[in-house]
Amino acid sequence: MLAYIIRRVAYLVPVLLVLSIVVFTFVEMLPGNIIDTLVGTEGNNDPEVRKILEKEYGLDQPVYVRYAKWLTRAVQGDFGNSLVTRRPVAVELMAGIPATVYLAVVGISLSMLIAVPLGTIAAVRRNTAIDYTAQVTSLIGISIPEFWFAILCVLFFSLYLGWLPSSGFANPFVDPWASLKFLILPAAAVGFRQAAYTTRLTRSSMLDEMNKEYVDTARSVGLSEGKVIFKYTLRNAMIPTITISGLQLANLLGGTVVLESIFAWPGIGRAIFEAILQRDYPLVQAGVLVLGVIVVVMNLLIDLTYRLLNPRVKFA
Amino acid sequence: MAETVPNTVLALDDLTVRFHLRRGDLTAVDGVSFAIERGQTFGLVGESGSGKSVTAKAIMRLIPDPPGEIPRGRILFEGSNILDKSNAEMRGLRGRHIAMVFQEPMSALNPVFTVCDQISDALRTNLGLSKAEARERVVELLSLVGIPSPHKRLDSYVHEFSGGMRQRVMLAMALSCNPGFLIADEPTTALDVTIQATILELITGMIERLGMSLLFITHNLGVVAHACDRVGVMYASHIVELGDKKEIFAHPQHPYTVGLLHSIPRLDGQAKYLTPISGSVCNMMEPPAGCKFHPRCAHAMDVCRREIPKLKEIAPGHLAACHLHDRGAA
Amino acid sequence: MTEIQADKLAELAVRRPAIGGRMARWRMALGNAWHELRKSRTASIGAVMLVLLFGACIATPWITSYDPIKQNYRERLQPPSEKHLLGTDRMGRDIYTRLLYGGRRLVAIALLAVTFGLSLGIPYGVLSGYFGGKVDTVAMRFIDGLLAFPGLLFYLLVVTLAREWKIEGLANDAVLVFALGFAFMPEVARLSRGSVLAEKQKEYVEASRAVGDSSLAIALRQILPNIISPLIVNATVRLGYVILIIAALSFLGLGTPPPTPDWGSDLAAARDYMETAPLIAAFPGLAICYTVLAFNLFGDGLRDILDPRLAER
Repeated sequence: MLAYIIRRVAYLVPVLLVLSIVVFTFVEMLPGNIIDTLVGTEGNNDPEVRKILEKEYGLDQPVYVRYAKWLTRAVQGDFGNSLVTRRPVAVELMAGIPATVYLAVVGISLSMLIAVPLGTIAAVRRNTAIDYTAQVTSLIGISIPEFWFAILCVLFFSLYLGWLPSSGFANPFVDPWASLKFLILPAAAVGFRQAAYTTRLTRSSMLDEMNKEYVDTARSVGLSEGKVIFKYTLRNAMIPTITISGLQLANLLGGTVVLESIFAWPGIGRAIFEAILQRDYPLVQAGVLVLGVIVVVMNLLIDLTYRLLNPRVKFA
Repeated sequence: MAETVPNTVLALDDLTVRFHLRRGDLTAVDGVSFAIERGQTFGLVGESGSGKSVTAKAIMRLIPDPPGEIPRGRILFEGSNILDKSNAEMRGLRGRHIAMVFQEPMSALNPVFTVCDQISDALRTNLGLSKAEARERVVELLSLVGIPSPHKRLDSYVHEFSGGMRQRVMLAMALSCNPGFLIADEPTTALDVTIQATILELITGMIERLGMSLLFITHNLGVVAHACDRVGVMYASHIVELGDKKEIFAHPQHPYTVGLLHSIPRLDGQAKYLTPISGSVCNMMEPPAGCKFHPRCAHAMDVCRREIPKLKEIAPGHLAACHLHDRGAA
Repeated sequence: MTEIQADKLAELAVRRPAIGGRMARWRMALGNAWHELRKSRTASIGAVMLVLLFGACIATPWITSYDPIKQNYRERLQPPSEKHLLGTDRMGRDIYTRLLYGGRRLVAIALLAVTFGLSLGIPYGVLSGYFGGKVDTVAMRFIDGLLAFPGLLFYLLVVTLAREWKIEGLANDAVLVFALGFAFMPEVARLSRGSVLAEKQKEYVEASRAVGDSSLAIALRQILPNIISPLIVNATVRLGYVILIIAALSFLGLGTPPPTPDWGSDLAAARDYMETAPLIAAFPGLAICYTVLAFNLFGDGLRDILDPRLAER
């Protein structure tokens, strides 16, 4: 198993290289360069100053040297300073990660709690009212744009009913109650779409599993229907569900940009989005890289989990 | 048909199973009746798709509804109709009184639970054993079915066993709660030829030792010759011939049975030509009118194309469903 | 687009007599497409919704007489009426008209993007799977790298570049097509590679090799028709997803700049009037929902029809 993990980690290297090249190329492809931005903000366009700055930022060197230097520093966690706040980019990003993880984890957990039982029941009671309701709801769930759903939630629960704040964030360790109130709408918006996916997935893999013979075997030795379904069958059906949910969680970490900006949620997605608006490209560059690394590592963890859940797959 | 005599373990009476599929209705089992005596081994023979496995599942009440339906018939187990029982009563019956060995142990055993988990769950549910007791009993069972060093294999998964060992595990699971009646649905078909005989002997040996009755389902008359006392031959959802094994092998009455017997390779010196049955099994969605076998039958007559022949007693205890015998009788 | 592909397939299927089961199935499926479609209620509903959608997109200039961009301050924020079917927005523009023109553009971009993704991904995956070995390993690592971009991030980068280079109008739409197609490529490549690996094992490929077909000819002529059905299902569902992404980008203000009719940015603009005129925000949202739902339903139904495992359910 250890050998397998080492090999998988080694696989990550080329993947991360591709990622870093794309991210680096992005900044390279911007018109003008970092100096324009700096000079522009300081209203100073003296060619001498430009020369000095170019040297300082290493712009006089060939592109592969700059890439190598950038990568070396990035690996050490040094992404340079934000052009807007002048603080280290790493610090700015780190500040956003907990809020994003908080939202994504709560959203995914919420969706699993709803979707797994719902998908299972829909499969067991196939072609009944419950099944149709679950299917239609989840189809709507995957078809509705999440920002529209979020707006509708805000319209109804904050503006019309006045139950929940329309946006904002509070630290759950400082003020859990307020934090919860801020969390409900964004988590529901994240959760609804995820729950829709997971319900569909659970339903279809339950249908697959329920056709298998081991289900009849379990019945044939006198086990109760509940045990047959919820222990023996669901355990098999959960393998794809958990795998896909893990991938979704990874995706969510970078995909909540829209929801974070609607709900003024101080996560990494919103940080990147605002950096784009303010042309703070070192922050954008680092943010995308960091999220990419998180996704890649998450994928590895999911792969390992999959192998733990499924005894048929060997760590070879 | 026959009223239940106390000595009868299982009696099927006009059992009919139908499936409502998207493409139309399919009658998989049509008016099947036979009885199995205590301590007897009954062989149900037929090609795949003839309805023999569906019959077995109907006895275990494992026909999914929908799309399955049992519009007619009774399944009398120890004198009472299985089809009238509540789900809870049925659960009490399964495992403890009737158990089943499936054809393909790889798919019939759960891939993500260990062998011990699966078997001991049955033990704990049915016999109320504790976790430790169940584990001990699993070791006994595994050694009973001939798995070497069972205590080492307890926590293995199904895919870690060889084909023959898997079927032994399957058998151990079926026998775990001391059922009096076992259904074996093609238990040797999925196995290597070399292991088939061993597993067959294991099953018949266990049946004899434990004094159980057995419904043995197979497509292989050769296997029947070894294992069974009585034989029923199924073709396209009907029983076409029913009788003692010796009687059927010596005096087969239905052209299909005759065909089956001719297609067994013989190694005992009585060299004969193998004569395969011409044609192939009819499409069960659109079965032919009259006798289902007539398109493949060398003796087909006009009446065969119109009327479904009824099972008639030809000799004591020997029944066949063929219009040829109407002639003979008349 | 699926129709166009279907035609090509039909051609292929007719020219090459039935080799491999899937091809036979395809011929059957196309021979009486409607009959097949009706087997799945989901697919029929999706098909009807799509026909309406495409019909509206094509007929746009004939079913509305308003200009989608010209402002008319005398008729701002009107409720739905006979004159303005869905009312007017904050600039006094007819919402119905803007929806139609916006949808036209959106659907066109989505179709082009998905086609682009397929045309990049299929050769990539087929060749990678066909040649195998080191080529395959390197090619797949590259794909993994592209898949490491979570959610919207890749599009954000591209759209930002477009903004910085001041790419506008049609060119901006082309950039969107490029980005969305490129992001679809890894999925297509993986799928086609997987199918190629599976098909490679089968006898008919061996058979045609034995007859002396050159290797690339096998890859394209034999394998392609057989891997296309999972791809079509995937592409259909992807169309819905692509529309969601375009809408999200313009909702963030990073897609199309304002005067152009666009469901996402119209929705974002309507947020300011949410309390006074909530309907303005409702219509673009409903339009997105309808379109994505149509593609999802059709894709789901197609999967049921094309996947023989589900045939009896």
